[in-house]
Amino acid sequence: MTSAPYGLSRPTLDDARAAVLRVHAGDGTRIWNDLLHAAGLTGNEPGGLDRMLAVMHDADPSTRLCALAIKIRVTAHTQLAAAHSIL
Amino acid sequence: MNTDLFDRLGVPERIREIAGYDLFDDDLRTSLDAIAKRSAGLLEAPISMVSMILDTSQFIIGSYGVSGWVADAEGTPAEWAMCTHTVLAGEPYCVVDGTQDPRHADNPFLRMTGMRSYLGVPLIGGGHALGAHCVVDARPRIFTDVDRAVLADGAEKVMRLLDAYRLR
Repeated sequence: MTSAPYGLSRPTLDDARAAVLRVHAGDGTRIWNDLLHAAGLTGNEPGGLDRMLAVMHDADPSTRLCALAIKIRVTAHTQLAAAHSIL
Repeated sequence: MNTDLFDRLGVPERIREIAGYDLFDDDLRTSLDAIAKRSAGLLEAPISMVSMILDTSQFIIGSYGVSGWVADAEGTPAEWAMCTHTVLAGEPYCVVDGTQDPRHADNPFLRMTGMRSYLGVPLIGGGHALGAHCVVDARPRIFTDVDRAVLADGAEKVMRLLDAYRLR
């Protein structure tokens, strides 16, 4: 699969962290740490995004929207990368 | 990722305002699809959407004519979405021919979808531009004031509908 079809990178746990810090401003670090705890992650797991998105989906409404936005990017990446691989 | 763009879109107050609506209600989605279908019909456009612009993605909450991976994902990356420009402008946004427009000629979304022209009006709530109601066409188009008025009427209908689905 192409890693970045049309320049679109697959989101990572770091992107989820950036989103939470962005939309929660001053409370972002505390909320991110709570999310990590709930997901059983340290924040350094390369494959931890799916678990984090599940926890974010059940969190406060703004965090849920962050998760939704990232899921849209994951789906777009998956489908475009698959299309690239068969062309 | 486009950090500057995402920071502009991810203003906490704006995201909280979007989160204040029950965007996942099935009846709401059906009604928004009907508004999109009406706008597409009146403007003779193959595609119409009602969407919220989140911090990193466009989230389509009502649509007509949307297919493929965009339909599956229920949206697009924010940096590819024309509606992002409408939200950032906070006023109607028009593209006559994206392939010839230096603002959009490099947008890969146009190449992969064949999209050429766009007209969008912002969805304003709580003093913020939350999303957009738009039409998209595969041919170059010069949209008229009547087109803008029709789409603005659709956007008003969308916001009246959304107000009935406030969570708080």
